[in-house]
Amino acid sequence: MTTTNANSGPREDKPTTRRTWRSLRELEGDPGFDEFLHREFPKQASEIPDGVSRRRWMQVMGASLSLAGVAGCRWQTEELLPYASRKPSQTPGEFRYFASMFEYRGVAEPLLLKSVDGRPIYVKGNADHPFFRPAKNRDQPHKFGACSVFSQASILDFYDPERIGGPCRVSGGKIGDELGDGELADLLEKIRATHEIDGGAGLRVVAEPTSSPTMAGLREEFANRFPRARWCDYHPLSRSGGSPFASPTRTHYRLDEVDTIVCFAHDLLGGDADAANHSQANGYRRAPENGPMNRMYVVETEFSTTGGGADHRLHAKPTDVAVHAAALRDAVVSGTPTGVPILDAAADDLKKHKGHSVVTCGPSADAATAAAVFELNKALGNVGKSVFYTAVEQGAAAQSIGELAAELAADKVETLIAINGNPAYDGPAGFADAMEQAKTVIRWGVTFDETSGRSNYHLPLTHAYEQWGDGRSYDGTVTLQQPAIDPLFGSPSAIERMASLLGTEADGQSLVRETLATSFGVADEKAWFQAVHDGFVAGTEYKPIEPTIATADPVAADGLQILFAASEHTFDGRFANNAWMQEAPGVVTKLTWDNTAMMAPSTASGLGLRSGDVAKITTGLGTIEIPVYVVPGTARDTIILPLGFGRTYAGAVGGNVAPDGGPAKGNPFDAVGVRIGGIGGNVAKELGLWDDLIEPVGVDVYPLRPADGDVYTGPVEVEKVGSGYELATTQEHYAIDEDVAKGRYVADDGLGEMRMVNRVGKLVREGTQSQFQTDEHFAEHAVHVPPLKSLWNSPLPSGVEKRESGEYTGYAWGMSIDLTKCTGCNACSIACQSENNVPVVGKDQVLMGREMSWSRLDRYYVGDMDDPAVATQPVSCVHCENAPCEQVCPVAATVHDDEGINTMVYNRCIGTRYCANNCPYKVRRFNFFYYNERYDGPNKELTGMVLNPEVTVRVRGVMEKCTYCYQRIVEKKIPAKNEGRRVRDGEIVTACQEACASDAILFGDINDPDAAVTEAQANPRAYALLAELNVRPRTLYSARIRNPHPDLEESVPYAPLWEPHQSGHHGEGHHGEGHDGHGDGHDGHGKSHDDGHGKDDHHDDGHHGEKGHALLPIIPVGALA
Amino acid sequence: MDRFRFPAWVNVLIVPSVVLGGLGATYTAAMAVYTASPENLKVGYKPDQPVPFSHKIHAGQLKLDCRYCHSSAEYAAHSQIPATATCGNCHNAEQADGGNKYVVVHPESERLALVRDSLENDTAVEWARIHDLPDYAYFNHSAHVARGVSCVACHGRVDQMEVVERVSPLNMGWCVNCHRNPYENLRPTEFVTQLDWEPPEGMTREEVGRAWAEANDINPNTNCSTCHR
Repeated sequence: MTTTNANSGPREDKPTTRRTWRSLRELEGDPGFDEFLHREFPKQASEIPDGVSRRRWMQVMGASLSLAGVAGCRWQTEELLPYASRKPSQTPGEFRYFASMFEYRGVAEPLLLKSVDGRPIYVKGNADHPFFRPAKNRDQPHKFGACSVFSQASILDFYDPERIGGPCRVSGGKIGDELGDGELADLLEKIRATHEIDGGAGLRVVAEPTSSPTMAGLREEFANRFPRARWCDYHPLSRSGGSPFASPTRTHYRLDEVDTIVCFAHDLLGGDADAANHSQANGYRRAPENGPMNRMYVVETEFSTTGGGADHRLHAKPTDVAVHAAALRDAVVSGTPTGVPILDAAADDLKKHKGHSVVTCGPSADAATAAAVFELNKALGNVGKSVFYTAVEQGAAAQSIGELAAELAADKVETLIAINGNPAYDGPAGFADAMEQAKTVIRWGVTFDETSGRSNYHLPLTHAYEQWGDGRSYDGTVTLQQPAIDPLFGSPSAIERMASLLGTEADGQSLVRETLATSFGVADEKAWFQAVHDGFVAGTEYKPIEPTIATADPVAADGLQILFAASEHTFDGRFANNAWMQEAPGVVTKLTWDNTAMMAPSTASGLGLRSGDVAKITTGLGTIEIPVYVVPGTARDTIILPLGFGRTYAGAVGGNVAPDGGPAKGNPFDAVGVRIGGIGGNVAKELGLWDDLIEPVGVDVYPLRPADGDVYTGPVEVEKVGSGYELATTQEHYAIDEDVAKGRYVADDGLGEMRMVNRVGKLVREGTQSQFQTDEHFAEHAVHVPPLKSLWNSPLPSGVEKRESGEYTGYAWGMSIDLTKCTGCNACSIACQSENNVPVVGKDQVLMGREMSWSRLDRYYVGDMDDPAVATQPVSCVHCENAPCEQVCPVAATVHDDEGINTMVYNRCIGTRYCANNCPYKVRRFNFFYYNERYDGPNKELTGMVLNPEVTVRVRGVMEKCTYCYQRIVEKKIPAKNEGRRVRDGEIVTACQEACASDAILFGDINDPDAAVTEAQANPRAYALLAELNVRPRTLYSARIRNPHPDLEESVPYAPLWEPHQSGHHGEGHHGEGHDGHGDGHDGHGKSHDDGHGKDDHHDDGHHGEKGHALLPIIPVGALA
Repeated sequence: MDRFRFPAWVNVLIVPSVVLGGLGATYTAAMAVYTASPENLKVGYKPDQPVPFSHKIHAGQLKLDCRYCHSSAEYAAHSQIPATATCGNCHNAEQADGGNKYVVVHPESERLALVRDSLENDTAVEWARIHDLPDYAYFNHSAHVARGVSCVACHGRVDQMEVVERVSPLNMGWCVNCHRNPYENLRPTEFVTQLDWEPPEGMTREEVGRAWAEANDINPNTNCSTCHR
């Protein structure tokens, strides 16, 4: 069986086509990639990082998680503090949920806060809120209510020690003397007095847009009281102008019954404010068993989440997006061919699905794109069916940021109040300096930031989770916010501050209640309590309007262009101090802890740049130096610069450095140490958190951004000024063995049956719809699994054999992950981090491949490097029945339990890391350091509050991994058992499942034939990752089905992984019992071979192997013809 | 100079000194093991409490059910220390409705000063914790109470204690022993809080426990994940 694989021939002919690869280094055969491939941890030495990096590491430790409880000395008296009076719902240690919301970009996201012993620890979507629209006919055991990654991670910000501090003066850009209550009252009185005389002529407000009806009411009152005052809503990611709509308009898409989706530079499934609903409906329509699949076309510049989910993706320069949109409009309306095959196919599909299609563009699309998209939807009859428009309310006395900047520069502003947002950092060029022209600048913000540094007074605000408030979700439903805890630092909220500015000392609750009573008919106490309980007022959604639009023609532009994009880590910069987000690998880039100039391989080589070079980019607006990162699939002649990095006043994670070089924030604790007592002051000072200068993460690209948009088309000069910048990308980490693809070692390993070859392209399995129709089980057949016989008689402690024979009746937990629904959005990963106390490790450790995330999202490129498709695959512990890790642990610290969970016993683990070495999935994570160390001190009282008490906090030298959220299993299992019943399907929802908007993850008891997860595992698309190893994973994947347009099937970057069934050689012989690890779905052919027939089959295969048939790895489409 | 030589009679001491030394080492080791074992280190821990609450009076003489105060033991993982308001039900003269209760027990007692403070100021009484597991071990009261494991199995005859003390080591071996052979500690659930319960005539505790376990399908397991996660 020394097989010289016959397929190596065509592969060598076309080494880069239709390949599945993780990074350019892999594609190019760089030995650096092999390092990650062959070793579990590329750099094993546990040396402490040194120099600047060490400091960064320590800072990160300090600002992320901390240890919940120190056992300490046994003799120490531990105190129990019972309630003085306890309400029936307050049971110590039990979770309670409070309806709340988190607002960013002016849209409220309805949430439930999971709270234990009075502290919120975890965030999830409020599934009962009308914002969430489950797909029609959705048949899932759990409710749909997913929240975005940012909301998920916001709970870490809530316990950010950076928030410590009271009202203060600002001196020299730093936190100055504390402002006493009397002084504060005097200040407000002075403002009122001054501006009552001039009618507010010198009074200006610059605020982050908010959907809060209460704030809108106060703003009206403000405008009445100071008629000449102006209020500027500023959000850096919404364009100041350019919208073609006659009045501000919001667009809503309904994807449930849509067969064709065409997106123009719109991250429909990722960054969009309505992405949860889009993902939900799209996910439903991507599963072939749910009826005809939809087809998605994406035209975009940056490789987005949506681009990864597309069937056809056309990358285009920013100005070309509008050109393509106009061309598609012409093709649909007047039948003019576009000359671009993908657009012609899209036009064809759109015309076939009038009224059942949708064309989308992002909320900040340029006028020409928006106009073309509007006209397309109108022409296709989609408006009112799959596209709706609603009006966005305008606040009183509005003013644009440009006007405000001009007034500031002209010295016309006496008092400027900056509410939330951070205009000194993300405002138009020169705004920060202009701010200082105002006589008095008063800052209301959650933390002391760049804008605070440019102010005269900083008045802290409460965080979303400790205040009363209201807002409107994307669909317009009035959403309520109730405090889940008393304000940690005693600050008032924005509406309370506004009320006191207007001279009424009202608390947030009464303000909100009054708004609801006067504007939304929440009259009596009962209705109010109901609204607070539910978190929304039903029936208050926006009503559709029929907008009018001005036509605009696209303007094509030549030459290099720059696109400024929202960061997937920091959004517009506000999450820069959130270590979870900084360390969450980008959806496509897999980059952590940096922003880069992203460009296509061809663009980079044209400019003489490689990943890791430092480029000096000069435009008419300024110059920056930024590392370069080559991202396949980016549009040519485009540089993408993510916003939101290079923060100088963010804090201990994101950066803390004043213009003069010292730390920007000084030490806030000198002033307020007494008031905050034990929680922070002295400890933080001792830790040196605020005495340190902290280098900003990434590069601030706002200075290069044009005032009126996201695209710069003027002359750009790019010069290479350095190289060797280390980018902490995780794309190569934990790569599963794929060497054979390179033809480096041959199929025969001497055992024949145990060959572990040809895994390339088999890890993430996908096919086209026509393939699926030809052979439903194509994914399973993608890898030939020889009959799997174990050496042991009963190797399966969890009773899998008993289960298969029906003897075993206990629970058997299992998971199913549907790759056709997964968009790779990271939500599961952050939810897991939050739920399971997973630490962050910092850039240096990520560079060494030591990131701790239990759930990694593998991103594979498919195709050639200029125009690849993307396939994503979440991989966490698959809980093998026959787990290789368990067999090598010398201390039995990882063992099976009766329900098939591969458990990790931290207190037994001695850190040999044998298990990680033996794990074929590379899902085990080792605590090389005590990543939680810095807060294993008195400061844990603040930062440690974010920890989930139901999950052990791990220390140095301990291995950890996914536990299937065992704490959640127990949480439901014990009460069910106490009631004498079994756990119902859908009762246990893992954190990743809860966070997944597309319903890609299912969890449950696979011993229950009616459970959704059992059904999913019996789906013909289901396959076990690395089934050939006989490890029998409990997590099964369902193959991704792509739905290319029939005309384009030959030219898509993704190719069939398995030749269609009728091609002959893939006969009965392959249906050995190897498949049966997947459950009972294939008994038909499995059983028939039990009489030893399987063995014969195998010999048969060997024979085929010599002819190069049985082990076909990838068949290019052309080769089948 | 001549080398010093021990006189010959010293030889007599060699054996005894080796033996004594060995005994000493053994003794030291044995003492170390003995004193550091959870049975001896933890059992008998009896800290002073801020309020001299007597379980002997309340649970023993007055026959208050355990669950009157520790109600969450029945339905939650933690068995809570009662809120001060629970004490106030009997001992607080200042009722929420303004009027005095018909029966108030010791409303003026000095020993209850902390309780009155707590009620008045809505602050916690700081009790000393007696039963404490390591943070990586997770125990669930309701699972045990619902299966008929009596309070007495772990907490002893609290109804006879003036000051509560720890009677069990609460170490892993002790937990696992019962999980392997729980029958001694099982009884019908209606007797769970009856600390002085005796099995019916002619039956041993074990027999009752076995019958109960069989009838109710009680098979405690010793999976690591039962307590560690």
